[in-house]
Amino acid sequence: MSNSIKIISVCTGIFVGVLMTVQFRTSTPAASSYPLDQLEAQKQLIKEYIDEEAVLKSRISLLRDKIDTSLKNNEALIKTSNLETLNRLKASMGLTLKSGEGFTIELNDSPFIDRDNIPKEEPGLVYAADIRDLVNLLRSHKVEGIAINGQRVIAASTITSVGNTVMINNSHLAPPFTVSAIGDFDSLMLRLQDPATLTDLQKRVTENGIRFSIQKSPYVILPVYNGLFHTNFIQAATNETI
Amino acid sequence: MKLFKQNTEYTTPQIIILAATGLLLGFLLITQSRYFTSYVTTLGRDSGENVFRKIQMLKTSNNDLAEEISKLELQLQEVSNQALALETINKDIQKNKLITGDIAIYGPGIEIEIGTQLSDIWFTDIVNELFAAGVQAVSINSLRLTDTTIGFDKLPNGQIMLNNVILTPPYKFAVIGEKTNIKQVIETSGGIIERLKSTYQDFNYKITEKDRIEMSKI
Repeated sequence: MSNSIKIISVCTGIFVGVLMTVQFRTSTPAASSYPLDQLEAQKQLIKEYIDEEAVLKSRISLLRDKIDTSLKNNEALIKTSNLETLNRLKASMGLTLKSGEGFTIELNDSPFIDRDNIPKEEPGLVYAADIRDLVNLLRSHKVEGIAINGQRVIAASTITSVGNTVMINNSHLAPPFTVSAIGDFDSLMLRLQDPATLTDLQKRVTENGIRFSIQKSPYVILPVYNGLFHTNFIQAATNETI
Repeated sequence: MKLFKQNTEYTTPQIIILAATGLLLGFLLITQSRYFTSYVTTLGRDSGENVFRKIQMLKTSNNDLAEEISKLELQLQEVSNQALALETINKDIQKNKLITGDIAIYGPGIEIEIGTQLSDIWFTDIVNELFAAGVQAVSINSLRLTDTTIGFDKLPNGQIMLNNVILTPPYKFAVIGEKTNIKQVIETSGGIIERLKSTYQDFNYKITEKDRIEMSKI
């Protein structure tokens, strides 16, 4: 064997060795390594949890309604000022129905896409990040309240995704995503015409078929927030001027 | 070119070895490139598919909802009782004030200091991830986030504004909650810190666990 061949063989060997090392050291989550029956069981478990969640949330809404009714019945006994304070606080936390003039935005996947059978990072899909950006835009537009597919969005609301599933307030939501808000429609339209607003979403609406439409509404009703408020780690400071 | 002239000197085993090596090389290159692409895409703005994470989130959420139902049932009994109603309302008012920002608060938590200038989308993503990790109150550069907070706005010069205040690095995210758990969630593989690191090459941050994080009233 000539020297050249030997050199090429040695170089190739080293290159293959490097590739193999990199290959086996790359930690990538496998798409699936489970038998079909296990995957089916997992899907069934998720469905059961979602069903249970719906029942629990409706029970919470019912109990909050009953508490409100009971408070109204005791109104004569309870100092009016206390009840007013409580109602004001509840309103600012999204614990009361809110209605007024506003608009609805519908955000939907590209019509050519099946959400359940597509790879990750498909630009024709609406992602949780898109909804977060839209909610942030509405907040900076000073809207008075936001709801998405019947879920009231508050400051502590989470808009996350697990794979291609979008979860708001830990509730599973499916497209189309209808974002309802109370606020000024005309100035929002002006803002949306700015190419620097929602840049990525605008690009994907134009190039990848994501559907985005907005409609003015004389009367938008926002539902009551049906999630939780945890305060077990928070203490009231004695000196309120911290 | 000299190499090609020497082709006539190759023996059959050499040709077989070279062909097999070429095949292996091609296979490894394609496989590695596909893995690399997949790895990069999972580090987008949202977490990748993880069925166990989904199940865990749903389970925890349902346990919390069941706990809330117990509390509301007790509260309903109390408000139905005229003697207890006033006291229950006062307790509810105090609890709600902790959330709305009507009073100053404190509690254990963590402080995340980020020295890198971030774009507006990452502020919404960080805050979202913090609430998903179970934090109970958040402030950024001493601005407490509540339902009256206006969203993050990007100014034409790229600066970020929150509640009419321009945010400049270092950004200090102060959060109240279960400190060890929050730190673990945000620093987990595929978590917000990893996603920021993959986006900003110069990303630098510091997390400090604190027994007392203070936030002023709005």
